[in-house]
Amino acid sequence: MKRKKTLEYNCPSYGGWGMVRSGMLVPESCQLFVSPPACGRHGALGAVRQGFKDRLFYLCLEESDIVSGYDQAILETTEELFLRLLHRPKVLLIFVSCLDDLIGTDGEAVVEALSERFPDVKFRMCHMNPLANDSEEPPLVSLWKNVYSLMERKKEQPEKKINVIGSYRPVSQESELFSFLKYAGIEEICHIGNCRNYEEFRDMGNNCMNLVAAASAQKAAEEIWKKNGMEYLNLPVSYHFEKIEENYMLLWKKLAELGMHKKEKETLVEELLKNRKKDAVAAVALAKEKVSGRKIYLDDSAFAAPFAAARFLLESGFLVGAVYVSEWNESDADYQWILENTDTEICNVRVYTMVEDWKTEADTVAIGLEAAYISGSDYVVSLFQDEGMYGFEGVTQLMRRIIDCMTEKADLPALIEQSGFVV
Amino acid sequence: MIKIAVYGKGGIGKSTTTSNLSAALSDMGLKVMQIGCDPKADSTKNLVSTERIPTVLDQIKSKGKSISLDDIVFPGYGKTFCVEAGGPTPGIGCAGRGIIAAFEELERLHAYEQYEPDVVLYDVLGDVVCGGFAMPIRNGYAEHVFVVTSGEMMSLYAANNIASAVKSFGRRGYARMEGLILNSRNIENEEQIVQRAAVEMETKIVKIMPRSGDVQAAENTRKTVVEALPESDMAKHYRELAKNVLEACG
Repeated sequence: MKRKKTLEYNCPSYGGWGMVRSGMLVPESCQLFVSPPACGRHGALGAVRQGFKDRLFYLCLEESDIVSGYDQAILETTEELFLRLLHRPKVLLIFVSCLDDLIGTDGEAVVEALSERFPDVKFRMCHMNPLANDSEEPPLVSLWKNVYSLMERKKEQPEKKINVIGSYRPVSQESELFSFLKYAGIEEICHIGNCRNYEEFRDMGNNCMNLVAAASAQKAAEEIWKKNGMEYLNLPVSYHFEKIEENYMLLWKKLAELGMHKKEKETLVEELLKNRKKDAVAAVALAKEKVSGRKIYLDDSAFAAPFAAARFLLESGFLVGAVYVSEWNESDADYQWILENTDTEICNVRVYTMVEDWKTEADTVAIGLEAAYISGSDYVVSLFQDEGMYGFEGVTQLMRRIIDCMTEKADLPALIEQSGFVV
Repeated sequence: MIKIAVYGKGGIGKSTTTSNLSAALSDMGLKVMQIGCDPKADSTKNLVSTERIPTVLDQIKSKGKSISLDDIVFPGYGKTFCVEAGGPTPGIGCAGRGIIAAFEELERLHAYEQYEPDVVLYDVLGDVVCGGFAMPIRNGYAEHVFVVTSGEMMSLYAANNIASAVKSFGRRGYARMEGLILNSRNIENEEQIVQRAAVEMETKIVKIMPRSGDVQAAENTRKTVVEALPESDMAKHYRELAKNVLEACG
């Protein structure tokens, strides 16, 4: 690992969903940002580009607010906001900035007062705090806790439905996860992104289990379990065949514990997984042929677990030039494996001088827009946080995306534009 | 677990009172954790009988994520455990934030689960001047608030502010004002003055602590009166205070 001390750098293709976009997944919700104007700039521009500008509002703080606190100002601004809006939102997410670490606003008291005043609206106090990025509770973890706490359990007998939480996109309909769960008697897979209104999302609380598809939602699932006993299982997206099989076994076991075991379906399940694995193996072979020895560069915007993804590609016979990451855990087993067994570079994308070193290879494949910008690859898979990929079908889709990206040279500025990133 | 915050104007004898209270509660067989919430970081010095203990903030700065409970929680007299939140250099930084950071670290390291104290005492500086200083009476940290005061005007002013803060937070059931501890300065009509103030604050005096040279004598040996002069009248008063505090907390 190369390390150099420089100012922290964000390349033009840096972006992602961020707090605003992630929170906007809650149907019929609005957001009120409580911060000095400069803290809201990036989120505001992003909201314009991503089409959320009618749902995002600001209470811009001034010097006097910092001295005297702004609990009352939040209450008054919310009243004013609701007076001005044509339709009152079902949910208002109130974001305070890292400034509030010094002010100490009594968020619970504010939410309580607002809930009394507007009983038809759900309020959640969220914290936009980049300082907590490398803490035990980074902003996204805290946001998911707030977002998924809006799911309410109203029925005593859980529905035969499963929630997938933590992912930005619903699992692709083509994934074998659907057939797998059907064999276990599960009637529906629910995802916040598929909910047409707030009530549909709220009622996901009646479902029998949360399948945690990204580590960032693990704490949210734990809290829900503590609150109402809703079971959960951490099965983050993986591309390793063994891990995928292991995940399915764990899921089948959990479903058995929940009394949904369909023993007579076991043969069908085995057959399903065998076939889908076969498809994935074939897709890997085809992609390898198409890539034909070119280097692949990938980043942590594309994959929630970039080292695991890189290891999968390396073990499958691809050549991985570099993994671009901004934060990582040095005890990560896949990170260690890459260090010990391969020549793949691991680069900190927040260090400008390192990025400069690498912008050289055009005839390569990049997965993720940061990787594309840094490596200068001609062929780009525009992927963000594994998107809807899951199971063996996830591998097949990833390979398909690699094959597809090789048909023409990428127009990176256009891809950045399409992704709604703020440059 | 009984969670108590002891507030009071700086220099009023709050830390001395709290440390003696901790020692007396410990003598009653209770496990006590005293958390000093004052940038001065000397709340527990008479309990640990040694040089000052490192503060949570200092340890966070020097050890980062590798910090453990052994770095911030130190055994003191009897069955007491001592913590100093710490804070910034005077005139620089935010002391309120120091308290918040220290509390978060104690929670993150599961301090209460690990030491299982019967009583937690937060010794908090002066007035409630910002959200950080109000932390001990918010978010379930302390359930009972006592204010150390004398009959002096500024001390009562601070006590009144604290009572107001507790009242305004009290609507949400955070903490309850349990009473005043009168730390006598031997000013004229002191008891009557404080009694009148207590009525105005809608609270009561839980104990009148007389002025005694034993306190200074014990402090000179870096000990609490309860430890250094257990047979003294003053030690008896602290033991009575401990009893009254427990009764007030129900």
